[in-house]
Amino acid sequence: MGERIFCKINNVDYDVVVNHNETLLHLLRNKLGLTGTNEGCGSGDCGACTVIVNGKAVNSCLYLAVDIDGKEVLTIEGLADGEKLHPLQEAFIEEGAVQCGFCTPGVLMSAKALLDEKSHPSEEEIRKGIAGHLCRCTGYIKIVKGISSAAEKIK
Amino acid sequence: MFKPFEYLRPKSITEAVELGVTYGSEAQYMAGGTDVLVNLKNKPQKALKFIITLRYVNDQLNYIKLEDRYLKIGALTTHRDLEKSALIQREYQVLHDAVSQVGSVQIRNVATIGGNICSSLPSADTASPLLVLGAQLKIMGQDGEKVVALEDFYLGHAQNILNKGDILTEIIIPPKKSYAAGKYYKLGRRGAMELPLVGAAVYLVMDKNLDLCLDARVALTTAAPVPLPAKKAAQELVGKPISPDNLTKAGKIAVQEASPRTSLRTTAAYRREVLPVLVRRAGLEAYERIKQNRN
Repeated sequence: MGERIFCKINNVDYDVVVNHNETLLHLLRNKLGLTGTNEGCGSGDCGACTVIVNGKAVNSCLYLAVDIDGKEVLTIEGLADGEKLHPLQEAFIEEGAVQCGFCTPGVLMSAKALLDEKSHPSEEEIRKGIAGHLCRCTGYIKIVKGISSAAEKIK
Repeated sequence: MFKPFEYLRPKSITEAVELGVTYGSEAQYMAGGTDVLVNLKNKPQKALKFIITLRYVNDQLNYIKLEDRYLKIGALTTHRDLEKSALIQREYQVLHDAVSQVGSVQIRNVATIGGNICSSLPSADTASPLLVLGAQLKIMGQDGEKVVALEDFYLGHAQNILNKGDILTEIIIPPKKSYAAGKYYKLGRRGAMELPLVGAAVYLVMDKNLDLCLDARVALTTAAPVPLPAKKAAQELVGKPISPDNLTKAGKIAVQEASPRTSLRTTAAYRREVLPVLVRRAGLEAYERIKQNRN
């Protein structure tokens, strides 16, 4: 069943028709061409599909597209300021926090939500903040370092 | 994409009840959706015609408040809001232990405490803490409102007393006693997105010198088809000092009350082996908290 919704994604207004059984992830990737958000497990375990809805990190695979009517969504495509990378992205490059890169967009969105909520999280808080992400390459240490060094830069 | 369903979005509790009554078994209520949608995905043969979301009555059922010393939690309050609540952190530590360990931040941002209870799984992290806190549930249905004790709510694995059109609206926790605290201990393999292999909550009420246990409650997670109050184990602690030995004794009694099974995640034998350990650890930590809170 199709339904028209209005929402803001990465600061752009969208007017789209979605199906009731469609996930936000499906809408982003298949209808809007925003393929930076990845699908890993599709059941909330891996965090690859994480986006920010009204300031909160959520798994877009477990969020119905129709529920973003009237809401603001931020995806990885909206993190940089034009050509200028976000400090988190810069720090991930500097610390070597990206290897295969599949988990990276999701991790960055969780990190962004975390830093928006708390500008200087402890290492423990960073670890808890990204606990919902699986990364098979880095062993997490460089990701934690990246977030922590971005927090320093942002201040 | 899931199998097609129609998504109904009532704006009031009354309307939500009516829809549930009208569509009966063809419909499923959904709160945060982190169980309902995963089930839809994993069990596509269980197609649903209608999903009735409670997201749009959220404003009415999203609160954490104290009224006449009773803690009242709206059923649509997310785990994340409970985790961040200073009141829960300070006064209801045993519940905080659970809500801060459910899923991940992303899951806790949408998953609700009411949903955790209504899914009625023995692995629900909030169940054991709520059982030891003596929680009651306010349920709205077509014949009006009723209040039932949480321990009378579960009927079996994923089964509860809710009839069609019944909606859990509020969780009520009786006034806190002096010299009392609890601890929920969860055993998992990963620090997130983990259902407990097994878990235990212990709640103790001590005399003012903290020498004797005046009242105790023990509840077990993933140790039976339902979240299980271990009453004999709790009784074992009453009238005695809290010690590792007494807690281990209570833990061994708890195992006799439990009926763990072998599942994908671990074996019944392992669950039986570690349960007394968890009861002991939870009990010692609860006692520590009573000491700390007194100082």
